[in-house]
Amino acid sequence: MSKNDSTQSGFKETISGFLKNRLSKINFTANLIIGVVLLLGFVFIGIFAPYITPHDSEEMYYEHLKEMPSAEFLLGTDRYGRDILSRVMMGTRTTLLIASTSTLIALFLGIIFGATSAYFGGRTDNIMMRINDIFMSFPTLIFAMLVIGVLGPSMVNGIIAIGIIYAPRVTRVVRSQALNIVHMEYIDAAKVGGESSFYIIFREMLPNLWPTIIVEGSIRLGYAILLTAGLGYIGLGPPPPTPDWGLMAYSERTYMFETPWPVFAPCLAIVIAVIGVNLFGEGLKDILLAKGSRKKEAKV
Amino acid sequence: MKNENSTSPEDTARNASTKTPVLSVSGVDITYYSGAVKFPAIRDISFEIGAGEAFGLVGESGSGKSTVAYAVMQYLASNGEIDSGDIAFSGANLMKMSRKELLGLRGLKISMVPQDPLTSLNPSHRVGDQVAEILKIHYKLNRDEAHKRAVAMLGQVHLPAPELTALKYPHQISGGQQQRVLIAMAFCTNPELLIMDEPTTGLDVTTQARILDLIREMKLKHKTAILYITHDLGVVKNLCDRVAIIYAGEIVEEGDVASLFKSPAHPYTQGLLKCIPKTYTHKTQKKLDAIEGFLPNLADLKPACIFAPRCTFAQEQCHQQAPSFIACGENRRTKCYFTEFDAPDDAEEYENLRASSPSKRVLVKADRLKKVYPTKRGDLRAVDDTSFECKRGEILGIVGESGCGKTTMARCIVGLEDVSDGEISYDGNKIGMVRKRSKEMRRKIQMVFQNPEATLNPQKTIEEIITRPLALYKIVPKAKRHQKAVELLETVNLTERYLSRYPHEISGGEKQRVGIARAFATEPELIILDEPISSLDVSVQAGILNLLIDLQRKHHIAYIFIGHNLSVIRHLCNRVMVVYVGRICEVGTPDDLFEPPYHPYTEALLSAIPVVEPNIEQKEIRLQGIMPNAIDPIPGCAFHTRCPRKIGDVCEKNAPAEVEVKPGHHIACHIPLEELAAVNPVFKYGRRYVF
Repeated sequence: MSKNDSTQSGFKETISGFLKNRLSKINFTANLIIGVVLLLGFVFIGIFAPYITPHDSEEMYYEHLKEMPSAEFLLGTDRYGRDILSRVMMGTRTTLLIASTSTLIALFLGIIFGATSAYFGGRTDNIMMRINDIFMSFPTLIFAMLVIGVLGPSMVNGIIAIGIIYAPRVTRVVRSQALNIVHMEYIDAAKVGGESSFYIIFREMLPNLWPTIIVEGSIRLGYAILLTAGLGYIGLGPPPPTPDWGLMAYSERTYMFETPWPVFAPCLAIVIAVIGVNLFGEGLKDILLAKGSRKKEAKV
Repeated sequence: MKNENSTSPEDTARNASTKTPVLSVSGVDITYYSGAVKFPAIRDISFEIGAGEAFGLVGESGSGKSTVAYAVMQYLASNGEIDSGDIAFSGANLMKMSRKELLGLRGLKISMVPQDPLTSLNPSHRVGDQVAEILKIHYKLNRDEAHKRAVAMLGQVHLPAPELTALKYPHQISGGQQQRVLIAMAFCTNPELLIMDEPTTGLDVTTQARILDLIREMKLKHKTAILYITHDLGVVKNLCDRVAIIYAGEIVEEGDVASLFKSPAHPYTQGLLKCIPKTYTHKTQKKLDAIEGFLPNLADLKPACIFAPRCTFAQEQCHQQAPSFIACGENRRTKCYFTEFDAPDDAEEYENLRASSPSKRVLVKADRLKKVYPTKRGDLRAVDDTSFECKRGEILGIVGESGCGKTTMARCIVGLEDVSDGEISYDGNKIGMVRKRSKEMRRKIQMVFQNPEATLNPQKTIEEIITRPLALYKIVPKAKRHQKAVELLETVNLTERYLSRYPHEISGGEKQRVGIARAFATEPELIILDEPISSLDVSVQAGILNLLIDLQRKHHIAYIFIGHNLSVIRHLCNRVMVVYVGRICEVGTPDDLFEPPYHPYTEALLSAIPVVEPNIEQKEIRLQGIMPNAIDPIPGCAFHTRCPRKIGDVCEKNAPAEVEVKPGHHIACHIPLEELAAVNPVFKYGRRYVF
């Protein structure tokens, strides 16, 4: 592999160098392929939802209340006569936006706290981790209710709440990997070389943490989707009429035995999205973090 | 001990000719597959091992020596395949056996001692049970009998208090003891063939010497055939009867140990022997001859002598056609067209390679340095009240077994560890942790690390790594950084091409060279070298040692060189400090250290060196027991628990004072100086050595 033009460092080059190094050798597992296809599908729907929905998601068709799936309404209609497929598609947008943004926030905070805590070690590490433990000891949903209760329900507050909830978990994972790196001799070499702590954490350690962070992010995204739906279900998600999977399942549940599809459709979407994200995460893990293959194989 | 060795080859040769050999490998080819690429890792390897014979297979990393071991065990990696040839065990073809038949053989008739004792023992079972398990499987013994036999076996490998040791878990015993347990496991079924894959590589020389004694003893007792795989020619010379040198998957030379070491025939063997710093040379030294070049790419083999590209004697013929084996002497063969060389008699070309005239000015001074690490059981005193100094332009060596505190001393000096007590001064000014030092101070002290695999950040190119200190300390203006980086690479004998590479694209030796270039980039005055060559192949080691010497002479900077190999230390250093459990035993020039008077510990270290030179007699001193842990306070001399020359209570009660033998040579021992001086030297050599 030739790398002639890598004169400057930086996140972009690191990632591209990383991909260039390994992309040709990647073992594309079924997990990864299914995960990527599902995830890309959801992202596509999320982005283009307003243009591709068969109906307007908020239009009420009064002559089509609580209808079974049909050619016109592929997943049927709800009690107000709204097209469920269109609403699920629009809901994809909300859910993905909340879940992915909050995951990014969690990763951002987690990287900073995790890497710093591991780098300084000793008492600093102890104090930071105990605080971390306190945050982690709250059940996620209750903690989310607490945050939203203080801030008031809105999409932005939902994002902040989920971000804060998952940050300590990301911190743990990043820290554990950073602990392996912080004892490497190249970190000692940087210290002897007189580098600042900031430089060592973000320019020497961080590039080696990306594989862990990417995998952790993709797994965390699955949890974030679940939590987003959960918050929507208990009414702490984005307020109606914004289409939201959790809220849809909640508001239609009274009629579940009569017309199950308005509840099942968003639930099915949640299941598929989470499975897709998890398969993607597992696939990435095999590529990025696998320590040697599962079979005993000689390196040549 | 050495005398036994000299008689055994004849005996075994006689045995081998009359009986079927225990192991016979003939014409074996092994290929590894990686995707669509084929790597013929082993090509046409043949050898035989008779009963009671120790056969050494020597090669550098990547030569395929471990592949041979796994092939014999029929336990190759899943992407490896034996293409042709036969492997026969006592006449039975191992390759045709079923899985079940093999299971019956492995562990019973064929045993293996692996390289890393810590990962080879199960950490959650007691060591006695692990030995007993083998007996239960193969002899169907019941629990008590198996345990009894296991304990007896642990006693046979000289583990202290076998009944108690059997109840311990692997982490509770030392590395040397773990290796003994593995040897006990290997011998407990009285196997006919024992395969040892670098069993002493991770151990200290003193421990290694004792393990080798044990293997030799067990071999004689059980009449076992041993296939001993190693990269260390010294170990082979001390242990084996016959030896084969393997290079890039081919055996290039085979013969009995005594004659092969005396007159190596193949240029590769000669090269390997020249790479090793001599244990015993008089006063002056010769530059080491490194083998230039790299292992060939096995995916792209040409019909030529495999060693030709690196061979200094290579002729046209060598590049045209691969040579086949030629007999050279009794029971010896080599794969070379030219077995008779006019080897230049380079004994006359000695030159003094040690640091040119170190100045009298003290550069670094450690004054009553103490470093303790708090642990749950108490304070671990890694460095215990030691004072030393290093002068400008001097190469100071620090030797000792692992865990003796030598690395901690180095880390205190560079400022990676805070000192607990005492102080370190640089040029008369006190210095602390690296974070608290001035920028100028940080520039002046650099470090080269031990593990080439961890010394460079895997996500950075060589250019980023080398230009970073240039930018940080503004050594050269921005426009000239690239140019300077190229110059630095050239000083460590690498080319501009390396700049754009990532660490995983270069070899271990090259990584270490980049590490040295990085240290030199800041134009320092002192470089700490923490065992920079110990994890490299011998041929690569020689190149790095030469480079370090050249650079030192050019820039007149000071080195503090940490090592455990006294031959290397002797080759390089102006002054040496011998350290034991955080205390200094002896300080002096290397020549002082190699001649009496010795500190008993120095004497033991010297006698544990596996020497490669023929015609050298080495005194045999074996340290018993293990290094005391540095947590419980040791009254008196730190070495008294293992000292073979302990004189009495005074050793246990009072710490010895340093006695000056002559200016610059100090020994801390209670034994009167006259008595220390009266011992025989560890090394005696008959005639002038040959190569």
